[in-house]
Amino acid sequence: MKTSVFLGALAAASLTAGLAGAATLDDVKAKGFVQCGVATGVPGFAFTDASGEWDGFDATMCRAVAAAIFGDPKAIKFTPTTGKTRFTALASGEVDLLFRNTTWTLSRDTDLKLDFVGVNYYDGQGFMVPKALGVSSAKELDGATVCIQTGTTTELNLADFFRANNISYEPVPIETNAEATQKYLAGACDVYTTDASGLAATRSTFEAPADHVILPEIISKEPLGPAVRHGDSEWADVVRWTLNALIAAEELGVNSGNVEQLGSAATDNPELNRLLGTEGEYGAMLGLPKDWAVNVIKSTGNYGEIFDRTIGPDTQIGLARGLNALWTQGGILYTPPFR
Amino acid sequence: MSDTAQPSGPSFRIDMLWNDSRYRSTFIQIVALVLVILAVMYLFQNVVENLAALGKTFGFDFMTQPASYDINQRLIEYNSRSTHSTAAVVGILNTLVVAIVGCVLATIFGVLAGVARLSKNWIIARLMTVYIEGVRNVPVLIQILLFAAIFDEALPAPSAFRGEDATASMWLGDSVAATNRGFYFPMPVWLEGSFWVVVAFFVLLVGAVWFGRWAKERQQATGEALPVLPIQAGGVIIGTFLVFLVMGMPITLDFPALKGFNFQGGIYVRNSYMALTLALSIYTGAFIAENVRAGIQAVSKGQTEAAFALGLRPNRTMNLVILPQALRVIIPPLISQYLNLTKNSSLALLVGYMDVTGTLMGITLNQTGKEFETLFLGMAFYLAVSLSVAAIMNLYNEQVKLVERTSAVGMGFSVIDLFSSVSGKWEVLKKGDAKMQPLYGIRGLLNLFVIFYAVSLLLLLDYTFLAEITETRPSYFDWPGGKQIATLLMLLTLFSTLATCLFKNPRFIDLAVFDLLVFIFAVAVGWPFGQLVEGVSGPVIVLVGIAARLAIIGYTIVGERPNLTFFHRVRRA
Ligand SMILES: N[C@@H](CCC(=O)N[C@@H](CS)C(=O)NCC(=O)O)C(=O)O
Repeated sequence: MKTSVFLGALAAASLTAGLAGAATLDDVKAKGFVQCGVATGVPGFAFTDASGEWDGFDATMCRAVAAAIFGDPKAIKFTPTTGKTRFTALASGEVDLLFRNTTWTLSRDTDLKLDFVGVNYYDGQGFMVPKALGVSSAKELDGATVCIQTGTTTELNLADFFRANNISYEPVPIETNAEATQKYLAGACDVYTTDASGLAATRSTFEAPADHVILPEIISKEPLGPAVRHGDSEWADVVRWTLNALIAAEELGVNSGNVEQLGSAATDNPELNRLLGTEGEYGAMLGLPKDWAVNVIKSTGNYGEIFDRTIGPDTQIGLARGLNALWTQGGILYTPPFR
Repeated sequence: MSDTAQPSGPSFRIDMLWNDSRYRSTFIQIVALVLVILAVMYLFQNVVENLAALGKTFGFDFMTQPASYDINQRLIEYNSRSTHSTAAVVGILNTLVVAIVGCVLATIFGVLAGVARLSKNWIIARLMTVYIEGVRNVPVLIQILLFAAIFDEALPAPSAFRGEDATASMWLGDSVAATNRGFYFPMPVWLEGSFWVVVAFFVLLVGAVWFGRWAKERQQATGEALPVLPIQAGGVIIGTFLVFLVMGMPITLDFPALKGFNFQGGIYVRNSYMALTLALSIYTGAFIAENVRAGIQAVSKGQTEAAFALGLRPNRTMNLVILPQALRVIIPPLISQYLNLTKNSSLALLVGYMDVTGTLMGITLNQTGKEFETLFLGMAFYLAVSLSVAAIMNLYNEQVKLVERTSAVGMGFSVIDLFSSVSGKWEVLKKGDAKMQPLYGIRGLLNLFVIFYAVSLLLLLDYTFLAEITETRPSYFDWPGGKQIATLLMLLTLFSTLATCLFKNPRFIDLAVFDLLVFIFAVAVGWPFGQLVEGVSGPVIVLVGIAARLAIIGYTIVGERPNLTFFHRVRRA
């Protein structure tokens, strides 16, 4: 009798311990900062700048979430994660969200108990080879040694691609982008394959980027987006609508330069007013301050500004908007209405 | 009142449990056991509940799904459509390769360095001190990374071997290529007729062993020593070579050559493997060297002096007097060094070597999100390997450990005691008893027993983990529970019976009987023996299996067994 009471109490205690982590937004507010999982170092996407601050496309979007909650893009701590550690880091509560070149797939969304809340970059897997090899198509890579990061969709796509084309290869499994770059440059592998954006970003750091080509084949769909733990819809909403706000701001012509003026009083564009909190109670619905979107755009700029500053055509990385242009401009970037 | 007045009466009060020394210790042990069980139950329940709270289930179904990733070094058939369990086996084999080769190399390094450290040559002794102290005091992880970095950065890429103005060239007359991806060695190609060369080699090898035993017996009888080793080596080498010539030289070499992106042909040894194996064996070798030195120094100097006084030459003194005694000191710590090396091989992850931590506990874990299941299986594997290595080394230690006239091989109950009425009284010999000497025969049936158990074990391992998965042979994880348990039990008993037989341990008889019972259990749960060997039907295998086991047990119990020295018993005169 006594033992069963004892066991029951223990069971109840462990159950509540399991559920306690569910209200991430409250936890984040209580601790005063957002804990964000990013890559260990991909130029343009997530890297530490000269002063030791995290910057890049993904890192800035993380800061946007912090700005939405606290009005301060610096209320954030970054945790570098590898392809292998990222999901454990999220599931164990070490980070509150992932902005880490992570592909939205069915099994990750369900089996791994993540929730993807949107797409911040539409990508696909590509191959990079030294120009000197004289290769012009991925189908000519029979027998090549290929560097891949483990724990990624990359290694699965790669296996499928070579299998479908009935050619052989030698995979060299690697943990981080930096290690892969070093091996590739040392000639320990002929080919480096990862998301095409990652390839362009990596190539931009080479001494002679022009000596390397990215092959024309894009062998997969890689919608990269932020992920949170499964089963915490409030927190998922906050991250989802922060991303949507960045996209909507570009669509509505709001940028870091004009946001303060536009957000100071209601304009005659109701959608803009709802976004910037001068109309309705949309912030409260998310559990955020009224002017959350103003804070976001003030500190990070809209989607287009972030893109142009970190990875856009005028940066060293030089990625074109392509699929990631607004739907009104030939891309597929499209946000649900703020209503 | 009358109760207390009569102490002889059967009176038991509850407080006697902790006040009476007759019951106290049992009571405390029972309480402790209950607490441990509760704690384990709590932990297990906690795990299951927390998994449930995360919405995860516990199960091994994923092991039969396609793995979908490729593995570079695979010793068995594997492609991205193979299952996760096949990927795990590929990883396990890769771990075993590193562990076995690493242990052998570490022993060689360790023995050489340990002996050299005691050398009278000052420079050699100091050099060995530098090696041992330097290597032992740097984390092995750093050493592995160092080797990998050296191979990556210092060796040329395959493209450097290409064309007129090649900057790199192959070694040893264009037969070995060292690149920053790996080393390529020539590979033997077995043409028609090579089978007979191999057969001749093994026949000669067995002959050499028998010759050695015969020579030893002859020496003990007549005192005449033959040059055994030169005759053995010469016989095997010359004999095999003659057959090689007669068969028309059916073994040639396939040399690596640069084709396309990489070298093709020959044996490809990846840098990840090289770095891991070298670093681990050099590191572990340094520890073994210290064990060897300690073992040699533990033998009293008087022994050497006595041997010299008897006129033994230095190398005989070493072989016959020092080493047998030193081994007793060396073996026990050697066991833990082997175990360390095996466990350290899981650092493979660092250099991208696809061992079991890279496949099962790496990519499979990551792609399926089954942390508990994969880690559980991985831990079970390391546990099984460690326990097996420890068991084998302990049995070996049992053989070489100090002989004391007083240490009887007594061992509590043994199955053999049941048959005293059939076999007559047997006397347990004390180790070192003079009576044991004539029992060291030369041609033992024991060899046949070893072969029987070894073949059974290999067949079972092959069928369970390696054979192709088909309709009729589903993956292990799809088998019904009884069959799974029967398989594990059979593996366990076959392994331990084999090991005790190999090392002539007196427990052999008990394990042989247990193995028979397990075999019968497996037959009872319908284990598919018909699929074990192609072309041999189930009933035949079952009959042969039971008959052979019965014969072995029967011979061990009632046979005259002039050669079963492991039994350490002689019939009373
Ligand atoms: N999108 C793929 C691959 C993601 C990936 O690992 N990308 C690399 C190259 S862009 C990366 O982010 N590396 C970061 C790091 O090394 O820390 C996935 O989600 O599995």
